[in-house]
Amino acid sequence: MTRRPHHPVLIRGQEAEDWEDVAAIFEGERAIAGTLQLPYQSRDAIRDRVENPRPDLRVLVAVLDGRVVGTLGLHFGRGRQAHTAHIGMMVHDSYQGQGVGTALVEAAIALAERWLAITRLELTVYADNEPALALYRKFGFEIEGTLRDYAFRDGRYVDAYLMARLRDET
Amino acid sequence: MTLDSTYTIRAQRNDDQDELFLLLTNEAALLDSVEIPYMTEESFRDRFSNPPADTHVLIAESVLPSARRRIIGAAWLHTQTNRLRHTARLTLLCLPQARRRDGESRLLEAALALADDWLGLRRVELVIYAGDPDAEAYYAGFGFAREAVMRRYAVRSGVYADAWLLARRHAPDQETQS
Repeated sequence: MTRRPHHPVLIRGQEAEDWEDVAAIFEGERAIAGTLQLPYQSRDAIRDRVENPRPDLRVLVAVLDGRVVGTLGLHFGRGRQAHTAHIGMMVHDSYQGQGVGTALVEAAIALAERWLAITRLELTVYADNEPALALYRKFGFEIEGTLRDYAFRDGRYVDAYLMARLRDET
Repeated sequence: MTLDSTYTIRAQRNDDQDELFLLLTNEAALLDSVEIPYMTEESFRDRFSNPPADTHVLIAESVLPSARRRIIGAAWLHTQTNRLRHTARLTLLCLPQARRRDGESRLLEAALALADDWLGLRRVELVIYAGDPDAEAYYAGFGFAREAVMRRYAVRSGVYADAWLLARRHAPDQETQS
């Protein structure tokens, strides 16, 4: 698929009724491989997570072609880490490379930094996930270190980068 | 006060509450952790009395010459799930006189033996505040290596403090016992 600038990605908060589209994202092999998610999750479990989000989590979704094709969760730190948030993102296999991730990250940064006074945004990304690395670098995320054997992915232990973006305080 | 060098490492017990509360609520503990001053006993009980099943709590006691026992440190090994199930995060807290000394060493050895020999973990993570090369060297003695510098990790006595993420990897022995 090619990029369609005439169909800009819409970003909005996740609604309970989005759960079926979200469950469809979890059917993608690449979407699973690029995250910490497991294959074969029940639709009921996904529905429950979408309908009853954790209080320390805020989820944005990307809408394209009239359906939700990407989600991004901002997980806020507490107490002495209340200025921090951790990003987790997932894009539908058929919609990767079309600016969905870019739109989600851009919106998440604006929400976190302009409205929630987050000054440290962090995430982990598999060290060999070049497209994701390029995306995060574009938005000012810097590698803070390499986490060795961080997670298990498709039969082997893989390394991840810890990345963070700091906002200057005004 | 000098502590005798005899230590016992054991599981948490119900009657540890008062001593554990003191361990967690002093100036040194605040500087070593992400705990907040004025912790209430109620919130302490909620969080520490009934740890979740995936958190293994080890208590280090010193046995004084008078045979009295005193808690000098605690370790929380938080095992992870799913695709991180080979990993755990380790949190350690020791009284100042046991910190980076025999007391903490016994506790750390016991926590790592649990991780290596009984839980079969491959990766244990530990976070310490940055700028403390002595602490880094101490943990390096147990196989931890610095992997990342987490900038603005937490607020600490009025400033954002950076932290070092240390990790220790352990490959389970391939031999099987028959």
